[in-house]
Amino acid sequence: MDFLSETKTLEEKELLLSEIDAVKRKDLGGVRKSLLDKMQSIDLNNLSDQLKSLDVVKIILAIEPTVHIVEIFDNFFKANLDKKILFDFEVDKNILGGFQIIYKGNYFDASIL
Amino acid sequence: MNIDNQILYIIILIFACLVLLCITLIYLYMNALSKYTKIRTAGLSEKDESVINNAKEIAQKIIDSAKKLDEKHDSIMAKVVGDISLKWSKSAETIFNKNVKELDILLNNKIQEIYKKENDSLESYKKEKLNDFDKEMSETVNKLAKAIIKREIDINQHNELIKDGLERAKKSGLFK
Repeated sequence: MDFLSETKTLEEKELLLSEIDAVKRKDLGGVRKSLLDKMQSIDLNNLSDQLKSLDVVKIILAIEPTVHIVEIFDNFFKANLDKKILFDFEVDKNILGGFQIIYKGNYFDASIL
Repeated sequence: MNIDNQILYIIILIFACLVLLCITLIYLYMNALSKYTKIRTAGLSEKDESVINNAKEIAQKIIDSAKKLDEKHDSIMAKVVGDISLKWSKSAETIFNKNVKELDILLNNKIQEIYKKENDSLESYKKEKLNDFDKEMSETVNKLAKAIIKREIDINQHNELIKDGLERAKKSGLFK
């Protein structure tokens, strides 16, 4: 399992980081069982550093992002950027559809207000 | 005794003279009295009467002319008083009319000013309220429209909108 490619959102990153810390502390109560075996076979410090070094793109949507919507963004960024990034999703009820995006300090509005 | 007789004679003579003088005086008095009475009782002579009549006529003329003069004076005075009164009346009327006209203009201006001020104030209030109403209506309609449109956009349309937006973001050079 590739933890980096499986981690797509900022929330997932934070969860994974907390689980890495828990494994390091050997406090395994809150760690997902599906990840436990895999975590023991990798360098957790390195994974933690990689996760912390990832760029974040903020995306503001009209609705809560579904798995499919996250996939759309992920696929698009994989195809158009040569590096891994994380999504920080936010919902704005004033937006009817589409999204607004902030990447590296640049803003683009692709929403319907 | 001889002397006494002479004195007596002299006294008698003096007395006789005095009596004579008295009689003369009485006669003259009586004469004058009778003449006066005659004049009074006998009336005036024709000449005197004509003089008196002339005098009467002259006096009457004087009185008439004085009356005429008075009448003329009165009429002149009445005319002068009438003229003055008329002039004053006209002046007073003119002044009154002028004042009334000025007052009317002043009142009209004041009324117009108050009306304009109130009207402006009312217009401003109306405009403000209409703007508030428009804004409120616009917000309500927007909210309603958004709610309706949002409800009408299904998940597939959301996905399409996102794909389309990503393409536009790419074209804008956001990811370079």
